Amino acid sequence: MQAPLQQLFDRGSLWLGNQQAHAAADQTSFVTTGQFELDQALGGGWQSQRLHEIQVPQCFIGELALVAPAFMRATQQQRPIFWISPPAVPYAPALAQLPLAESEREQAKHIVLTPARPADALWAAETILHSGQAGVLLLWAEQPSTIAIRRLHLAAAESGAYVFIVSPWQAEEARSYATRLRVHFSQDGVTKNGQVQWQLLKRTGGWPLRLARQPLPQWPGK
Amino acid sequence: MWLYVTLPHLQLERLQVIQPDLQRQVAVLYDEQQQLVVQMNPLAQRAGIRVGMTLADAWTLTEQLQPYPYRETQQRALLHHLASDLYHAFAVISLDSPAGLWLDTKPMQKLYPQLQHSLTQLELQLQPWQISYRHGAGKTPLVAKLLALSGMQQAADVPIDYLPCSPVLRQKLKRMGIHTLGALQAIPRPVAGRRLGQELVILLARIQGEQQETLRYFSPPVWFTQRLPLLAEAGSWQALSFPLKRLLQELEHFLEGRQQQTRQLLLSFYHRDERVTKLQVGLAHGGYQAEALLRFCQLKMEAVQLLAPVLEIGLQAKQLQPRQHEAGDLLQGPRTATKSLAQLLNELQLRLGQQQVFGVQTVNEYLTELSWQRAPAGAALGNTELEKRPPWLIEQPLPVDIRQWHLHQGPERYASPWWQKQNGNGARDYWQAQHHDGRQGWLFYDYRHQHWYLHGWFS
Repeated sequence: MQAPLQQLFDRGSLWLGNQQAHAAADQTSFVTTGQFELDQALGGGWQSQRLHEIQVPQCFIGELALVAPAFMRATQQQRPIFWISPPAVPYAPALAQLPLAESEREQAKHIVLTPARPADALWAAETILHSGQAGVLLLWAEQPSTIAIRRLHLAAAESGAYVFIVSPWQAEEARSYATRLRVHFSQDGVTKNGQVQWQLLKRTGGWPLRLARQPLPQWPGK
Repeated sequence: MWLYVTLPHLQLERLQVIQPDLQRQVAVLYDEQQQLVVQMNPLAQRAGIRVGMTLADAWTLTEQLQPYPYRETQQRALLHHLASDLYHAFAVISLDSPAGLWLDTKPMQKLYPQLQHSLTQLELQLQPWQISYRHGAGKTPLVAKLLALSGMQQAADVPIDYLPCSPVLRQKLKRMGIHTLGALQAIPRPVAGRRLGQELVILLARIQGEQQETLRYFSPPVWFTQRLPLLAEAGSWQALSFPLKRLLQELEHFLEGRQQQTRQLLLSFYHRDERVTKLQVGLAHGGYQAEALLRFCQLKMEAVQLLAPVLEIGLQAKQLQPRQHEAGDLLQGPRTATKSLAQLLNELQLRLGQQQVFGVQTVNEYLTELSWQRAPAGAALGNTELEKRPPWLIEQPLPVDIRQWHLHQGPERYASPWWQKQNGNGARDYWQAQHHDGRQGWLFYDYRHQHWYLHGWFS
């Protein structure tokens, strides 16, 4: 195999369809999504230093539950969690209910940014990632451009953070995400409870995939 | 033992440090009212200009004269600044405005047992200032000053022109053929007193140390305040950033000596028509490095338009506080961070606004609105006793149509305590409910308004 190609394989930037990108595991670490099926499909969960896109038809349909384990990891590492232009205020008592040791839970740092313009939000995200301080970065964006995503991808590569971009459904053209998760939201015909279906438009170590329907994931608090 | 340091060209030499082009020009500072030369550089001296000469005479000596007005307030500020620098090495300093200061070497005897040590220290402290100075050492403050001003080695050789006495007395002495201090001291004191009066007796007593000098001692400033005149008018922010950096470096030096950091910078830009543009740079988390501070100032300056050319910059640092150091973890290995969290938050707040960046924190209260608060960014979350709370809160509860919702779990009753009940019954019943599209919300029924509200979202 050609040397440059082998380098890409070693870094985990490129992989064969039938094998997982394990080579990269020593540089980046995985954190569970809290959902067994999703973890399996993603080869272990969310990868740090990568960009993960969560496309939602509307807000508040369980997207926060998927990133809660990443919050816990960041809290254990004593790194702050940044929320950039969230759709509502993160409610502190619920954040303080995450199942962690009390001493760790108390010291969690949640920092909320509410920039006036989308351009400021992207600037803030990039600045935070470049600083290397963040444990988790959540960015809500309407329609991030290809260039913006590319810049964030580069910034994330050395940040040590779990980076999530929550946006409405986007076109399926190529973007620099490691994971593109589209959430389908529907209603159970019998119980009328909400249920979700995860569609992976892109994932490391596998082809696009659509998982079975699930009940709404729950926030892991008390 | 007293040391006197005289700095004859302090203001001009500082101007030269900031604007190096001046060194190649014949530059003088002149008194605006009397039009007299006050300070000058070596090139001016070579051209024959002397201190005390009128400006008109100086013009006749050279055509390439660069006159700048002498500012007394600035001179005083410079001297103060210099003294605060010397304070690193000398405990007892007394200012002799406008161009000199005394240092008492006695309290520092343990550190600097010999005069030479004190002089070395003095040189070390003054080196970064790039100024010329002369010093004199004597048993009394006055002798030290006379030696420094005259440049003589022995007190006896000091010409009487340097004595701080009335011109009448000086004239009398000269007519008597007394030209040096030594000659004056050789006359028996009672005889001299009878012939020349009380003034001379007191003067001699001061020289001998029989009469105490009244000196006002210097205490280091609590705030940092500096002004810097520009050589040429600056019409853009870019042109201002170089002199500003200079000021910030001095601020860093100031803060370094005190192990402090600043939380507020006040920049003043003085325009020709006496107007001042003021810029306030607030730093929520403190800063002291010139590089970082300059970046913050630039962030702030980009947002404001410069209305008129600037003649002078002022910098004031407020809200000084002890530095906080970030402790790294030895076991977790080196952090990959390129800047500290405080620095990052400063930068974010400057660009986005102070209100736009905040932390959330729990409060030990039962009522929903009171159970959390906005905290300064970077504050720790805290603990809570509450259970089954949604991760999302809608700050202004939204009125909802209850027919679209299906109540699941509840009610959980919240009643405001009796001492807050003046506006009627404020009780609420909270429910976990499901919207007809399947999402889980947090509703409450408000008894006062008799209506349903959405207050949060689960998941």
